[in-house]
Amino acid sequence: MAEQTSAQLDVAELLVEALNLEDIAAADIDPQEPLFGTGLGLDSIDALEIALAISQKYGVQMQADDQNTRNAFANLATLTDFIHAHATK
Amino acid sequence: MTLPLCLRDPDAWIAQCTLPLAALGNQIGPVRCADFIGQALRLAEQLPNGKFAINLCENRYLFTLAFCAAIIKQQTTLLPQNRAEATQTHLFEQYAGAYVLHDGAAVTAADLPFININTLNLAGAPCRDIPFINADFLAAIAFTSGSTGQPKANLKPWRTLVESSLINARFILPAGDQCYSVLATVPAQHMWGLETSVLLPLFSNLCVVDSRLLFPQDIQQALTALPEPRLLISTPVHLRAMVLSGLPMPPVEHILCATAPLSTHLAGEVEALFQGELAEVFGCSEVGSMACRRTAEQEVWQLFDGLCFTPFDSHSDNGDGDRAYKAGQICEGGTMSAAHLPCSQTLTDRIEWLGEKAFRLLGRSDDMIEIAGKRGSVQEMNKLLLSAPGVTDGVVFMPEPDLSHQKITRPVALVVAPTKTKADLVMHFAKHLDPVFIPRPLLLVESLPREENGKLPRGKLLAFFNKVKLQLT
Repeated sequence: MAEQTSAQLDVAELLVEALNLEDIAAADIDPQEPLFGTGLGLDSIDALEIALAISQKYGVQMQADDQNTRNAFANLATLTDFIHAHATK
Repeated sequence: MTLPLCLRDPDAWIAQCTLPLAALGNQIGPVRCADFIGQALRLAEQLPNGKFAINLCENRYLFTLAFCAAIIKQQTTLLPQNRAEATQTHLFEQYAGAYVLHDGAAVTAADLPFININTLNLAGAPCRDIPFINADFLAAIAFTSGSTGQPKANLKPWRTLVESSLINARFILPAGDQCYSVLATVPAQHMWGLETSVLLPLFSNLCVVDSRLLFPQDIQQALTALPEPRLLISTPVHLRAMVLSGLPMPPVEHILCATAPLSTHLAGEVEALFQGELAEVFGCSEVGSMACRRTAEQEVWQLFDGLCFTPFDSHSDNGDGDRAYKAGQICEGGTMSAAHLPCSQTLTDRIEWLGEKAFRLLGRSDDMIEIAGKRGSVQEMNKLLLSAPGVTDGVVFMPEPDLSHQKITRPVALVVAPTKTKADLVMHFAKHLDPVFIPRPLLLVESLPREENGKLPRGKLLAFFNKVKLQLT
């Protein structure tokens, strides 16, 4: 597994908290592993929960018809980059 | 006897296309009923021969076109519980002459015949003559989780869909003949989405948007772009996200929400956010919508006219027949019947009757769970778990809900499978279940705290689960 940056660890902790992923340690989420489908196995309700948690913590709103959002949801690394490019708080 | 395919004026707006669709010449904007009928007739001519169409269209307008075209061609639409490939294969084996109908977005199981209707040419002349359909024609089969572990087929003849739509319109839509712009966050394939976002617009003054949106900001923008008055069709999970997003929303006069159930508090917040009225609707795939309430202001449900409930424990000696219950009576399930239903249906809910048409819902049966408008059976998930290769023991159950946040409670699995990894087991579930029902967490354990007789009492199970969770942290 690729090593997490501290910014990625923050986002990983947000995911574990928002999605009740009690059986996963934030530090164990591979930054390159897909979040949806085969990797962490997240679904559309999770996408909604993640979007909500991110808007509350970082002031970033996600949109589905935006290619950036689709790319952002690829893995922990892309999500962290997306947040830091758009954060307003 | 025949019944019309729709009851709208040929010049009325029936749908709003916001996404360019190749099949319709990439035209964006509102669609008149006559254009819709013309397109449905052209699609019917181009559908493959077959008796059953598995409709997996993502775009709500294309779903509706395909649904109506199949009816015109006398093909029954199959509405699977999920898009899993194993589900498609299973349907194909059970229903000879079935094919998959999609619009490019779905992943179809290998070896199944399919058609992508967005590659056809459906543009052309409008048709002002509304087709009539045999009332007994089996328009759709909606599949639900059966407690036996096999999906249960719920038959929907055209008569059932037409008459229930007329009843639903009377009870859940606002009075008056204004045309409402409708946005729905639910899939067309599930009964709630089918009834409200596909069938109601065929019979009531609604103009429904083709896209299915998820994120609050998308919903905000789509609603703002719609002319007033607006109507939103959703579920508690989606509405909660809209409230918590903190985004301002344009006025939405009427909001329809499937029951999950919805808390009074959230209902009040939704009404304040949209400056409109929220009606929560109680229903199931077997019967369709049955009752509604203005959740922000009332706890009691109002049963729709035409439906009749008979409790399991009612005595037949109460005389006048049409009053099978007593006020204040609590029943553990019963049967719901109606003239338009092909047969009466069992309800497993605990219900307290307060009057002829009024009741309190005390809870759903322990087996059936509902997540984001989709229903699943815990028993079915247990069978699925125990059928996984390498699993020697295991249990799927619902933990105690987290009432403080109205967050979704997901099924949990504790599994004994010494030779398997967590990923193997998640993969096994993913092949057969909608992603929302995949147990979370799924924990591998050495053994379950079974009693000598093999039973696993709930109290013991929850204590064991809490202990295992503590060891994780």
